[in-house]
Amino acid sequence: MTTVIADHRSPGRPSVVTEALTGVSGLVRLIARRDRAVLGLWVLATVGLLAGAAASTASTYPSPQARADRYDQILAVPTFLVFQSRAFDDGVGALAAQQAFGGTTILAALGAALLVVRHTRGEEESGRRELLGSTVVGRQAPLAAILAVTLAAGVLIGVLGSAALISSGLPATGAVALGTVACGAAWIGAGMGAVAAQLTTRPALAAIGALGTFVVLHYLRGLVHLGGDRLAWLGWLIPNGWLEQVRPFADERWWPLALVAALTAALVAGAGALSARRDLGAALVAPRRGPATAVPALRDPLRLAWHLHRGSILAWSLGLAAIGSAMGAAGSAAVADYADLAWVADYASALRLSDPADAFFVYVVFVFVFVTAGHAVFLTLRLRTDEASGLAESLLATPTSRARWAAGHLGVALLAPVLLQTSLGVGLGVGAGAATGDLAGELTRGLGLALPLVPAVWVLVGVTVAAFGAVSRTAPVLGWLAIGIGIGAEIAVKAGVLPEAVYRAVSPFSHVSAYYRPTPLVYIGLVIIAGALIAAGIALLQRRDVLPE
Amino acid sequence: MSEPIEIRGLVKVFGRARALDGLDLTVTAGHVHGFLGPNGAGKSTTLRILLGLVRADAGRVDLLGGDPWTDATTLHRRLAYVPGDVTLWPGLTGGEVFDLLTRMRGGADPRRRAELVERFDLDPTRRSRTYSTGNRQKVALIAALAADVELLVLDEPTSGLDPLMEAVFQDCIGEAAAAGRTVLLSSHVLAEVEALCEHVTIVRRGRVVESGSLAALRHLGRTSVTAELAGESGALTDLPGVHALHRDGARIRCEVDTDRLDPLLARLAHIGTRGLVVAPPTLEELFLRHYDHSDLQASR
Repeated sequence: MTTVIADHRSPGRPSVVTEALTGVSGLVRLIARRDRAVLGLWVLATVGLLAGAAASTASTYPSPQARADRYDQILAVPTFLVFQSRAFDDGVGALAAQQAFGGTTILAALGAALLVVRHTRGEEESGRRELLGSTVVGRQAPLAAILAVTLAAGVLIGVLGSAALISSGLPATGAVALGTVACGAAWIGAGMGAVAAQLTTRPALAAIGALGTFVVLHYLRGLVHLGGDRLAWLGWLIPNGWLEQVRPFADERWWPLALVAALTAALVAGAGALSARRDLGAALVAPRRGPATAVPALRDPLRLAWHLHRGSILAWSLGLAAIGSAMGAAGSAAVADYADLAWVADYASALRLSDPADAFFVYVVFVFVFVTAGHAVFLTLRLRTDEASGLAESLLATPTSRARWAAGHLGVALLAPVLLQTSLGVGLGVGAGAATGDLAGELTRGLGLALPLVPAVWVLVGVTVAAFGAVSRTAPVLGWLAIGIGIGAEIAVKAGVLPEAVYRAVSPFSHVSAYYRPTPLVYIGLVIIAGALIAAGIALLQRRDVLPE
Repeated sequence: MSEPIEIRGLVKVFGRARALDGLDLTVTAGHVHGFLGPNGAGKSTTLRILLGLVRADAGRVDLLGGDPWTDATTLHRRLAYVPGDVTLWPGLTGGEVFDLLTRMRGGADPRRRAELVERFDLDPTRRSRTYSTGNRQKVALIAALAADVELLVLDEPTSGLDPLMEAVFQDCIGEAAAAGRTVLLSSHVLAEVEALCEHVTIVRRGRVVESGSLAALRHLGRTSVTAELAGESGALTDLPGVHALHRDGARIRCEVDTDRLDPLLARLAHIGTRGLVVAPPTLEELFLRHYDHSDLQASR
């Protein structure tokens, strides 16, 4: 078909390639205009992560001795290998690169994959692609336009990231290498997003697929290191391993970047080929049919909410259980080895813990409780999306009251953190139990650390509901802001820049922190606050208009 | 017994926009009532107030003998609603959505469900995200029509349906009316309103500009007359109520106020006719005339 057109085209006619790409420049401007905030935020956050790692490494390990200790610690504690990266040297730059690698590459890939999916499959599903497709826009133009924007943004991350590292006093060569690694991660993420968008008709699935692949490959890269030299060859099959092998600030190796560029080109070409072969709206994996009648249980808002959310709750629970068991296994061994090291003892005493092993698990649980909290807020915000989309209108026109509708999503949003934290606790317990042999004891410890954080998550659910009840559109802003404040306060108070009183006032998580030795009264208080916020939200919801947008 | 829907002096203000500005509406039990008006006239807002989703700023609303804002849950047992823009749960199939909605209303007869699925030619095993606009509307329509309720509130329910399904819809509404149900039908499809509704209310900028039985409204309108004449027509415009006269040789075309039809017909008979077409005023003419008129007023 292509050759026929090519053979018969008259001199003045555009080539097939030009034809397919007509309208790219206009689309590029449209994307840049629509998503300038998202693009800016993503680029700055990624660059900020790089710069932050450089600054914190310099301040946390000021002396050569401290850096040498840290280097030994990274070599010995598998967690750092799995979650972050190998360290190739004990200089400030190499340690900063080690600390930044995991977070930076994942954030760079995340932004790129989400943007590409949003502007390809997302636009197709919403029907906007069809509207655009009827104008003078070539078949491949939307894919080409978002790839152009995302790859360019990746280069911008590289340039700004290098500049930030150089300005913090690190050697230029290493800075450029680390910046380029971040750029390479964004490129791989964009390529994976582009391919995933061709495979399924569901944007969310494409985004999770692309991102999940990148994150899983990151952990595989780490696990391969645990296998020692025997498995080293396997590392060369993993793109994240190529990025790691650039070794910024440690006698940089540039040639693995060629592999990254080649992979990006292959992914882009593959996505283009798939996109050229399929119909608009179709995918490689066709949507499946479902049951013609609903199961008898599907009859009220609570069970509807459970039906809608159970898949995501299961997936997140399994994820937390897997992470928990990896951390439990790796952590208990490492902490046993390092219990007498100064930094572990310092950390434990800072948390007022007598057992240094507890310190490590408290740290893990306090990091991952924000995942649980994010998921709970996400579930709560279904109230807002239901209202905006008109689903609430359909439900409320039946004999379902507003309170029952809200209670449906809220019931699941309150249950989910219990399930997720239980999974995390069980994961930690099983992992640590397998390592130490004391399964019952480790399970008790894991659950004992993970579950008491649930009331703090409930408070965030309460904040989100109260905002939703008052003014619908403030709910996402306040809900995510509450989580942002929680994470920010946690970091700021550890870094010593936030007064303790403020930390106690703004973060519900502070009150369940082991440091403040919470009494049963604290938990009851948090439950009462969450309950009062939820009651206020539902009461306010009764008084306002429920309108789709 | 009071009527199923009685609205007096309804006012709703969104920010600075006055969506409803003293709207009155009465729907008689057992009637199919057409609710017409251009986009943004306040039709959907009225229906949402009737459903208790939106609170009126002023005015009195009486729905099935209760207050839709305070008694929403109780009243909703006795009505079914199809929104103008049907959204479904993307991961549920059409059949699941249908069962969910009817169960929340207290359940539906499975035979009735099967019959409606068959008549509307809907594949209930497809996920809602794969449905077209028309198919999403069918799911909501089937759920509403299968419910054993006194009142159907339908907001432009056929905007996405093809002509075949439009005919099925009209049959179903006819059956609902025959079974004694009351229907409030907001619509842009004038042929549909003409075929189904005994009464119509036309709104414009949040106020009612015309309301009454279709027959009475027709009476207010103009009949169009086209005649092939045997002789010279002369000055027909001297007759009262004759407007817009066009002459094309022996052929004349004009509009005449319906209550002034007789003198014109007598004159035409006197001249002698070879052919005569007398068409009653259509809803479309009424509708357009009303809006043109209002537009002129509004632009002044």
